[in-house]
Amino acid sequence: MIKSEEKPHNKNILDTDEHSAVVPVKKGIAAWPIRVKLLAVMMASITLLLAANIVMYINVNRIARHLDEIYSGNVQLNELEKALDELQGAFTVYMNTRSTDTLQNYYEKEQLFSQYSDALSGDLTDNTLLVMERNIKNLSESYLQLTGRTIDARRGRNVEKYSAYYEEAGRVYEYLSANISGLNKQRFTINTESYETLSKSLSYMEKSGAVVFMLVALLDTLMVLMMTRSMTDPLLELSLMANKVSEGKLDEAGTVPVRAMDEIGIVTVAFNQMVSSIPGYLERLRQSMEKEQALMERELLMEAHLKDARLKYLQSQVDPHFLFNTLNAGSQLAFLEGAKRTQDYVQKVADFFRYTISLKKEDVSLEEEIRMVDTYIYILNVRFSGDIHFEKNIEDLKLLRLMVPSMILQPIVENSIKYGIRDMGDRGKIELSVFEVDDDVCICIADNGEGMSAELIDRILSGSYGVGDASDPNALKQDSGTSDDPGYQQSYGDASSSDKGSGVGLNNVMQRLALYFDHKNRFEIISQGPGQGCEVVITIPARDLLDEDDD
Amino acid sequence: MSTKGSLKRKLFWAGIFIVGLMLISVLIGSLYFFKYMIRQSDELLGSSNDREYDAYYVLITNDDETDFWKSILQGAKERALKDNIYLQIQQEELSERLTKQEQMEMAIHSGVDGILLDGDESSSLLTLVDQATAAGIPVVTIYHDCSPSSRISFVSISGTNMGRDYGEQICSLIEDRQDEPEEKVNVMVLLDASDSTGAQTTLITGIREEMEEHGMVDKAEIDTALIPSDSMFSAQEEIRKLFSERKPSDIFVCLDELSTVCVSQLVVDYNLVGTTQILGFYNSEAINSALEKQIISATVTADTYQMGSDAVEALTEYRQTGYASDYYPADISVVTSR
Repeated sequence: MIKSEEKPHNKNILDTDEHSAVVPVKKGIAAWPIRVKLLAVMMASITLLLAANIVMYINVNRIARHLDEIYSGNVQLNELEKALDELQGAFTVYMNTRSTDTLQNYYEKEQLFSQYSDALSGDLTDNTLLVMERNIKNLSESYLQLTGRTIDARRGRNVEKYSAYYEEAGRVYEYLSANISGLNKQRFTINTESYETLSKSLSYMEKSGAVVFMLVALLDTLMVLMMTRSMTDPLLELSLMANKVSEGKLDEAGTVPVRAMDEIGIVTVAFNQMVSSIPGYLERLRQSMEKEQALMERELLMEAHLKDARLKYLQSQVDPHFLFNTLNAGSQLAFLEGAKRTQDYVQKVADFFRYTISLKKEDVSLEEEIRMVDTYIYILNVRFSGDIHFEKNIEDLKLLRLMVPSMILQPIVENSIKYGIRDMGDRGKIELSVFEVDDDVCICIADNGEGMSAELIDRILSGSYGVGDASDPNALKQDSGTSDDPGYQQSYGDASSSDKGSGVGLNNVMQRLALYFDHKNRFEIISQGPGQGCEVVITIPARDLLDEDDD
Repeated sequence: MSTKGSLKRKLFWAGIFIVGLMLISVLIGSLYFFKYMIRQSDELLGSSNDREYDAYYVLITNDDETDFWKSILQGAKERALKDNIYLQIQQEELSERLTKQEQMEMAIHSGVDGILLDGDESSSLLTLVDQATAAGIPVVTIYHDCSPSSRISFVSISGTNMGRDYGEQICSLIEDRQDEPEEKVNVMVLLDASDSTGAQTTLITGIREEMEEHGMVDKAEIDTALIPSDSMFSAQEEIRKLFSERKPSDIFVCLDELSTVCVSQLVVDYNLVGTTQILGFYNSEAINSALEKQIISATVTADTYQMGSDAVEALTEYRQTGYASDYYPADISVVTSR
């Protein structure tokens, strides 16, 4: 029964089918170990921040680059205007001085101005600014041609021509300046609009950046909450269940659902397994305790009976001790006087009393018990002139090693003598047989005496025989009234001796046998009726002994 | 507990999904938004998608602020656009005002492909027209001619026809004044002082011819006054003198938009509405308003839009074929307060 309740201990705790039946175990991300989950959340958070930063960086960079480009046109025009002024200055100086240095300076300025004017767009589009650029470019070319012609005429000293060219160049210079200024102004106006547009974008960027980072923070918080909940929820459930278990509420403590086979899931499965195995352990513990209790009770009962038996002997201990010592002294005296038979007799009587006095062990070998019966019969035969015929039939000597409770044969033999063959004189016969029956050993004490009625046998076996306590070892003798029987007293000696005998009754013998062999023995009294003799058969389980010998 | 936990988990997932979606939307949206703003900024700078033109014409006039010239410019621009030609008043983009001569010189040095010019017969302008022609730039005169010059064509209102229209209106007004038959009606024609083309003489001739035809010559006395057109203030001052220094005429004939507006304002200022009649020129918003209020009796207007268009057509035709009509007459019409 216990075995059937036990869980197989070699079962893998990762086998979750049994311990996670309430909630299906999640696979995939949920089954990741906690450290991997933590790492994943961290990586996701960092990636989000990185992505947000990259996007914001791209936006800022693009706008900053465009902001830089916006006023580059104005810068270019300012440089052109400056170069034009310098050229006009150099041109005027040369016209006034006509020196080589100033001419050189003029050419340098012309080159610089040409570089700037060549960079202008010559496209004719519907973009007014580009049209103006085109006009400036053409005006610049005209201006340079005019200044060139003027210088040529000046060098050729053609006063009329160079004066006309100079004036025309001056006017073109004015148109050019006016156009450059106009373009610069218009470009500045448009650039400012463009700048304002981008500035507005920057303020939007601030707001969108704040929104992005708030969203990232919110997303991070949600992810962290989700992950921590996935860790703390099972732990809380586990702790609640553990509390119930610790309070002994095993009935209320169910299975903790396993949601994911992470570290917590493994602990939960182990916990569930532990909780499910606790009732089995408790049951086994209870049975073990019951068994131990029964053993202790049996031991106590045995001890009580033994004490009871010993008490009987102790009651007569003073006399037997004195008697034993006296007998020893008598034996020695007989030896000194050369009375061999007397010495043997006294010695046997002394042995008998020594056996009963020195009886401290719970069990003895069958051989010792039989020897005790031998001594007892010898004493009786000496006392009563050898009327009792005692025969022993030992089937196998090994059977003598059988351990039995002490003082079981002598009371039976004593009863056979007292109630069976007491009046039969020398016809009385007692036969002790020890033999095997299957795995059992039978000890059979048979007499050819008066026998017993079936009713009496039942009463004796049921333990209800006698007055008062059925367990009283003297009950049989008192009830049978043998202590007062004159015939018995006449045939087998004094009343005190017959009353007490060895001091142990059949009932005591039966109970001790039952306790010793755990009720596995049989105690039978067989009699065909009055005058048919009586047979006491003790059947004792002795497989161990027999198997040992077989080996 | 399990259902509650499951619901919470679903809510968490839904929250993560929604916030994630919002985040992605904001990020992608910001990318597109800033790209759009940059594109808008680029468009302001005019660096992309500009239409390219085949030729470049300029219109040169001193009165580019008047509705009359604005309408001519509009007509010219739209016609030029059809031929993929870019047309503008060049000085519009400059911070300072230039004379027609300066504009002509600037246009020549700017390498334009054609010039539409409100001419006059000043020698400097004639020289510049010839200079432009020499530089391969055809010039078409509008409204006022440059004669004699090498301009290829002239687009204008016929002075005779215009005079006849004015004459007809004068006769009509004289007829309305039959209550005072013993006095001659004083008709003041305001002439442009800068116009030396003789077109105004033709116009007065046309008035006289028309009045003769109506037998009204004896009933009216026609005077002329030269009004400077170079600035708004000088024109107004000169006209004011006609009101302040003498008895205002019974009928004022204005030959341009500016003088029409000035006279109508002075009539109101001098409380002469109904007493002094005005025959104006052109139908700008201010003139139409005065017509409605019967400050102006009638106005003679030309199809200025068509004038601009004809001028561009003449230039293009010349550039393509080497020839163009010498004269493009503009249609005229009379709008009366009635």
